[in-house]
Amino acid sequence: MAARAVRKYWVLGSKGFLQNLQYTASHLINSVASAIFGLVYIYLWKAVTPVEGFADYTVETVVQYVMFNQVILWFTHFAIRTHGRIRDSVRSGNVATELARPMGFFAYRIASDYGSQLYSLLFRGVPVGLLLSVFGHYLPKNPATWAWTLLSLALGAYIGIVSKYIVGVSAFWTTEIRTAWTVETSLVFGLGGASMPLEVLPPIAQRIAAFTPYPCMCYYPARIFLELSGPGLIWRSLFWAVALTVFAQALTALARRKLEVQGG
Amino acid sequence: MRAARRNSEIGPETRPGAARPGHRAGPRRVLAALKLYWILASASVRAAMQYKFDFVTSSIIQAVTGAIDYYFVAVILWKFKTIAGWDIYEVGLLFAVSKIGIGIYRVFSEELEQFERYMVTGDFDSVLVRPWPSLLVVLSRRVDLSRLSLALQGMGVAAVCVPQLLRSGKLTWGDIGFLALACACSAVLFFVVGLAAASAAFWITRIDELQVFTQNAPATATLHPLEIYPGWLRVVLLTALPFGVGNYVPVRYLLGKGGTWMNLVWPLIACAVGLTVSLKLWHAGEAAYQSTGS
Repeated sequence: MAARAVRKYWVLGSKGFLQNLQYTASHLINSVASAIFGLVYIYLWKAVTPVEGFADYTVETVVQYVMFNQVILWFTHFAIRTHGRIRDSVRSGNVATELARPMGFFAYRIASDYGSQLYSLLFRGVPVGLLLSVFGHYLPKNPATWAWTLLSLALGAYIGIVSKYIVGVSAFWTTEIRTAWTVETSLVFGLGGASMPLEVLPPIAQRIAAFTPYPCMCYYPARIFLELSGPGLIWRSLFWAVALTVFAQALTALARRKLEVQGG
Repeated sequence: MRAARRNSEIGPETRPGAARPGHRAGPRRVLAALKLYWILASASVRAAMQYKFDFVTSSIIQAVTGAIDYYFVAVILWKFKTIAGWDIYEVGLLFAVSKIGIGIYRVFSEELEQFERYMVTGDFDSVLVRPWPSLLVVLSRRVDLSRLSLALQGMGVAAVCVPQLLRSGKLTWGDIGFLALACACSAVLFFVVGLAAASAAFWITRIDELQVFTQNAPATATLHPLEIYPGWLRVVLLTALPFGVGNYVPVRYLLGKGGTWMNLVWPLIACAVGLTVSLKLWHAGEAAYQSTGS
């Protein structure tokens, strides 16, 4: 029974991965654009970071921080399409069929997106890393760091997908989710450390960031990979993964009662 | 079906390049085209205004949250004081000129940003059968006032930075007119690059990723002083993707950081050359258009 359930989600995930394979060439062009964004930020940080560095970052470390985030950003944020798919489904009325399927709406959406996220890491993130490797690349000294980084990344992507799922489900009430998505993206960049180490923020913003799930998507995986922090940060990601899942499930239950199918 | 073949089928009176008012630019035809643009654009605005509350709230929230780019720069400058010798108000001026420019561009040219859809669905067929220049028809389909939020961000930052720069004597009142001109040129340069990227859709159909490459990335790069970039990147931002000509070149001179009075003229030259090239590209693309329809 459990094997059949896993197989169901595996099929959905694989579908997401295979669908994306159709657009590899287009995604490679986008990887060049992402690499240019990375270049911009790298040169910016090289220009502003003092020779003696700041907090526990040297010029080299901060460059590696920016590079790492540029590689993982597609995996944990940008390539996630859950919100758009839910919005389209609500607008077209297809959501009624999706809700009637003999599987949880939440699990269905998450599984569908995880495959395409894996694709994004391999076919969008890795090429960006290769393009930016002209600035050198950091390799963790402790082999266990790789495993902790992957776990932290997997949780970060999960939190990213659930966060977008929540944005998407807001379409049950508003039909338009552009504003909600803009707010969420601003928080990922502003409090998640996507564009800069959180140590650069004013102390009050650092304290606020520590009480949000956004650092789980970028800041914690980067700190673990660069061996600036231990694997203890993973507990925070785990907490947020559970908390957001509970919240998303509750929201789905509310949305199910709220559903109004368009058209006739 | 090639556009040329379709033209022969639908008759000379509806050919894209032949008998379209405004295409052979007699003053009366231009006037008629502008009148039509006004009517269609007003209709598009009226349609958007059916959802006033959504429009107002989303514009305000977007203006606030979209200022993340400046938040990013401001935080860095709060921590490190300068970027390549530019302080927070000077970088703010670069940001303001660029954001006002892109805001104006997006209000009037939002359809160019969605142009891929015309190619993928074959919607461009319906544009071609209208007896008006195709670019005019495409642009008139949507005037997106909510994009004013981008310009509002720029104006908000300018409202903070300009008085400070005037007080410190880095800017004079006489420079304000040149700044307004720089904003206008910046808008035209965004249009130039946006039009060229949209034209590419006639050949390669999918341009979403190309737009990120040609617009988002270089637009972000030019929010910072170009001194921080290596020579090759500076050349790209001042020639092929000339957003730096719209903000960095004039602002650098106005703030007394180098250059000559020609820094105020280069944006105008870049606009004229850019518009000529991108319009030619559009017309070449239009002639090469192949519909997806059956």
